[in-house]
Amino acid sequence: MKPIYELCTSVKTGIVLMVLLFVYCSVGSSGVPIHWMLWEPTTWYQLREMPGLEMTEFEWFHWWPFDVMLGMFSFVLIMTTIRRIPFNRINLGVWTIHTGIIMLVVGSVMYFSLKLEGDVPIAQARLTIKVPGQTDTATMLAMPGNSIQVGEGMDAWTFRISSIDPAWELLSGDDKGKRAYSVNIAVLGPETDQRFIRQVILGYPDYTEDLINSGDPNQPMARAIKVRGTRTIEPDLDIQIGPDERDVFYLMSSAALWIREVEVDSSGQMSPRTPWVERPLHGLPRFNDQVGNLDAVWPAGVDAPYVEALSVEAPPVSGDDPLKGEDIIVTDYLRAAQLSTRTEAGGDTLAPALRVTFSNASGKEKQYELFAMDQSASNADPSMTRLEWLEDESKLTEMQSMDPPTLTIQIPESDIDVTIPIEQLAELEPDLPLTNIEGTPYSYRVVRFDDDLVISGRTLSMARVELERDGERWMRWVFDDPALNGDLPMDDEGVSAPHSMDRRELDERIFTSYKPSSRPPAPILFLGGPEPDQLRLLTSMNPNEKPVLYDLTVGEPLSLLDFKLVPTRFSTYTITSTKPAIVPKRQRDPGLSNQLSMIRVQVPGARDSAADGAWLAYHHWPFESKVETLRRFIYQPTPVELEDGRTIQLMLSRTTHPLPVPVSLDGFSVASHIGGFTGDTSSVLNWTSNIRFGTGPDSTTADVSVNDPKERDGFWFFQSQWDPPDRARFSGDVASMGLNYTVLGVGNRVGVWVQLAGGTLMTLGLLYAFYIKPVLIRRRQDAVAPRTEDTEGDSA
Amino acid sequence: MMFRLLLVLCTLTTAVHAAPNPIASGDKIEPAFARAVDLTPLDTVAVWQDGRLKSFESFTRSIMQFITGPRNIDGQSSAFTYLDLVFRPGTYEDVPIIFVKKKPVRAAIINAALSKPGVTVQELEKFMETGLIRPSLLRIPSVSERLSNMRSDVLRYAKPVDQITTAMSLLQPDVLRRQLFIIPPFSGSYEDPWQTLDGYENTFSQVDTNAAGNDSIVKQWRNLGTGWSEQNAETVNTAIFNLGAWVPSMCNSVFVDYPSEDRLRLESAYFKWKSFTWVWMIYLLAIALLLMGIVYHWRAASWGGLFVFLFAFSLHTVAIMLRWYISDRWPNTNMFEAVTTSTWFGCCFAILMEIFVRRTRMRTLFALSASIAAMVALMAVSFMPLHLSPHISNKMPVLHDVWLYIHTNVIIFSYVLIFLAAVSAILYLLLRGWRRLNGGEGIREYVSAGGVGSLIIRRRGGEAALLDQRTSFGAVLDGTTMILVELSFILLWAGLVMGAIWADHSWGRPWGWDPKEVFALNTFLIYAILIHVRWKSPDKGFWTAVLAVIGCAVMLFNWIVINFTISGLHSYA
Repeated sequence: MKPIYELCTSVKTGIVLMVLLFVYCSVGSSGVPIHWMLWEPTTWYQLREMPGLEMTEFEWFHWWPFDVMLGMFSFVLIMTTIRRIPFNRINLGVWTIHTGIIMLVVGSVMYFSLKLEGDVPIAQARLTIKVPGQTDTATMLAMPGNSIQVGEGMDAWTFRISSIDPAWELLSGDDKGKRAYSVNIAVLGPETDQRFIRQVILGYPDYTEDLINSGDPNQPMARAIKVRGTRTIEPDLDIQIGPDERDVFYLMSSAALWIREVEVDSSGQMSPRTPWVERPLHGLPRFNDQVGNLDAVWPAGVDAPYVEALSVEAPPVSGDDPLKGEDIIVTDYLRAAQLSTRTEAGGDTLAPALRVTFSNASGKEKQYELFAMDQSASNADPSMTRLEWLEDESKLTEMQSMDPPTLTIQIPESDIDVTIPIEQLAELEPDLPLTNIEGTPYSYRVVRFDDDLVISGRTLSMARVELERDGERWMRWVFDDPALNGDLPMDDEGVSAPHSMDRRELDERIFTSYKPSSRPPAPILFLGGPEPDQLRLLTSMNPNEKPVLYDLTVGEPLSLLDFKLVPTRFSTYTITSTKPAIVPKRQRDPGLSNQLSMIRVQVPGARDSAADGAWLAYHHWPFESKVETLRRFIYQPTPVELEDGRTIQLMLSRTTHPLPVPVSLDGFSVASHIGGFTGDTSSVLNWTSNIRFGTGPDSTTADVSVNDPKERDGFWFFQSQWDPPDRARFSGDVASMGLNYTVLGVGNRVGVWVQLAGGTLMTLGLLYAFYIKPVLIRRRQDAVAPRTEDTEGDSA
Repeated sequence: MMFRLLLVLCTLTTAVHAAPNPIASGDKIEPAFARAVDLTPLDTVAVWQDGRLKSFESFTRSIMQFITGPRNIDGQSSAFTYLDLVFRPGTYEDVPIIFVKKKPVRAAIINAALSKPGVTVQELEKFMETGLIRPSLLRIPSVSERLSNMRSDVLRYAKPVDQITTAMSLLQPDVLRRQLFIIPPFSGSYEDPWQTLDGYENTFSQVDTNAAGNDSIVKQWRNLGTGWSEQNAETVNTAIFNLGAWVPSMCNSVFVDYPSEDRLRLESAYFKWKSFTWVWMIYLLAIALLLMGIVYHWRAASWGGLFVFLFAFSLHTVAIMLRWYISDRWPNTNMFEAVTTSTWFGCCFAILMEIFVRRTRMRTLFALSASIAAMVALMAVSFMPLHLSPHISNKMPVLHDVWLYIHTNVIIFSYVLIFLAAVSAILYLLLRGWRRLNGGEGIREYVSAGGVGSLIIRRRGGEAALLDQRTSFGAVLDGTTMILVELSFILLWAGLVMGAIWADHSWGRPWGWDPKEVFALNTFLIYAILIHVRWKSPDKGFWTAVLAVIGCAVMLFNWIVINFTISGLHSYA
């Protein structure tokens, strides 16, 4: 026992433990350098992120080796202090420091073992809509561009948030000059007079009003009260704007599988039948890709995932779980991936695909992927560059003949059947006169033609032909499939109505059909077939010259005019599949963290389509639906059909913890520097979330801003994220002025005061040991000095 | 010999100061015009940028840094190049003006541009050396394609490629003009947006097309453009003089928060004087003299060194106070300020200690250590302006807290003391090494009472050991190191506790194992090891010195590698 006692009461043991703690802290925080260029981020390899460990910083510093070292250090510290440092006035500093360390350790154990930390997003407002004649209400978050349909068929109403002003200045009444959150909703009702914009203002229901078309081009929208004398033109339409209440927060660094059953209607639309419930996931990798089968993903070059199926079980924990008693197994994890549809050689489906690289003299390169059976999947303009498959040589011979497009006209009453080559177009020659079809009352002229249009998955060619009979003129769209032909009215100026408008009744006395040109459909036309793997190129750069045919071999360049092309891959039989494409490690933005992570799950009882497993994308929050989704976050639940006919939806997100009371937002504002809020963070002085704890008359309010959190029932709420303004991000989207939601950090802090007391004691102890102790010794020496000069003070 | 050494030092400092910075651009830029144009009147014009009001000089420096990096083009001021780009944009198409910081990116560009028409090997060699490249070369398809491919390497090249893209877009005169917000809101409201001169002109035009032409400021702005395009220095100087007089006058009448003329002039002067970073040369002189005083026991050199140190410190103080006045906040919110202010704290401490220990063998050691710290810091900010940018910007919202001043200042003070301790520790190790090389027996020298204790506690002989001329110089250095170690140890810990208090109410938790927090704790751990090793080791002086140097290395690692390479919550300072 004595050696152990000596060891545990040795300063040297304490020093060794401190060195070990230093090394452990360093390795877990910065990682280890794998290169001498220390300033390069890629030099630092994070050991804690390696396969098998997969730890966050928090987890690394609560792993058992750290706990053991800290425990041993505390033990040695206590034992050594008691044994080797006499408790007296001189050594009070050291005792204070060591007591402070122990208090700090105790406080930290309390703090970190009971720590709950996460966040909760709260939208500024939620809209609740009730349409005339219906009892059910619909709801959606107030987010720019959000759209919802209420009712079905002819009675359907559509509501789309066209704009939101988070600081709308009230223009009238006692509140004039105040600012409030205002939402404009474009309303599209079943009747033509039910199309208007409704403005609702948070906290001011009396100011709800409609904006309607004024007919004035300078100010197209006008307040209904000015035009019609009433604030709302559809008083039975009830759109309420109210708070968005939250009662749970989402735990940091957690993972959970979310599941619910949905109902699928005839159009494929899904609506929830049961609420989302969570199944916590433990032991999921965080940083390293791991798959059961490489064929399940599109790999990223050298960054190959580790191949061995995971077996992370997600058992049901909620009574509302639609798969009661059934474990879902996570088999694959990808840190950063996105679903991608790609084509590979193989299979027995004729689907020729070509990859070709074009380069010019200045070295500029462009790579194209061309697909013969689906021109819309190609990334080249099909009117310029395309791939076609030849069943036999006759098509090639036809293309080389360069026949022009033709229009066939049959008029049975005049016994006319003519085929006319199209050589002049009214689109190019506006003054082109109409040509009379001899012996008939009809005249015609061709306006334009379009070959090989891809319409609803079909490839069609058409000509637009103006027809005239007995002074009446109209436009006929003549397709290569005459069954699609249609007549459209023309106005007095000879402009035809849009195709989508009401058609004119087809004049069946004149039958027309269109045959496209036999010219190659693109100046650069790659031809596959008819022999397997046979690849040729037919170029027709000059419309007046005959096309030129070249034989191509994969990998061999061909020079044409001022550019060069190299077919790099050609396959006649291909398979197109959609799988997660792994983002190469060097292309991963560290700021995105795990936002692009995906898992694959095996769902018991899944139909064949999901027999291999279903891929789920990570959702930072498990939103209820598209209209409950916060801007800049995704909503992509994965549907899985079950053998029993039910359909469930799954998503990967985080676990929740109940908030002490429901929390909602009364307002969210920005204070700015000089020059006002520009939308950029540099102009922001502070953000303030005016939050409301609880509901009803007992609710209380608090203003949370940066550096100013608020406490409620042991949880602190602090300002964490915000919604900055941004532009429209895709076609059909609307711009946002931002401030539509806030994200509050939520966390408990058990043991903080013990930690703080420990830290303060240490500071005081250090001051005592370094500055008071020498003075005490000096005083003692001074007191003794007259008697003996050679008194030696204690060593420090 | 001393005189020769001084002469060499002076020559060296002058040579470094006059190092060829300007880059020759070609024959399109008229040096005579550049020399004749006087932009000084614009010093009193305020420009709004990112929520701050800056002087015109400060604004142009901060915006041109995005294009030319740390370089000047043809020796021109940033303000001149800015206006030249606004009024004669085509001039710079073939002038190496865009700075590419990373050498691997330079190499990739060279690789893509090599043997392309119009590109010479000499030009590429110069680019590799200076980092400056002409826009037309970056527009070569193979080069732009290469950069586009590199952009996908997010970890290594996305940032430098984005910087090149930003520089290229800023070269467009419209973009540059859209940054020039010099007209305050006529509402006088603090939170209303400022206007550019073009916007101001348009406001007039909407009311009356003739009104814009009649407005004196618009007229001068147009004259400036015309004169500049025609390279007519007289017209340009007149327009600038008038703008410098009329814009502030008009702005003051509508906007009460318009900065004072003195403030704007001082801000311009501060940047024209390169933020006083050249003071490192004076500190270098002080170091030389102080070292001579210590090594040769030459009192005149010691006094001379102290005098020069005080002179350098005075200039350093002027720089800190000036920056405080200009930015309207204590300078400790970015890396430039943290580095310069921390060493200023170190100098303040050194002066106090020099007074306190003036009769001991420690005299001039604190001044020497502080001079070295200040010289290193000012050299760093002088030679790495892109990493340690002197530009003044607004604080991030999270920094608007009283704890910024308490926690940050305590921490940076402790950091500079750690550096000072490492200087005396290195001197100790050098002394030990030198003695060993000269056949010494490697005497284990140390002060037995520790740091401040050694100045207080009576030793044998009845006086503090460091007053005793018989005490070895190694022990003196050890005592100096320990005084610094003790204080920095306390300050570092107190700073950590204060940081935890701030983090608790800012981020919702006192400790988050953020890399910067962990390495501050690591520095503390090294010092804790030092204290205990010193207690147990028979060779206290040696281990104290070694661990003081290691502690300093960990502190510098925290300040440099963690800040710039390993991202964390503290990466703004």
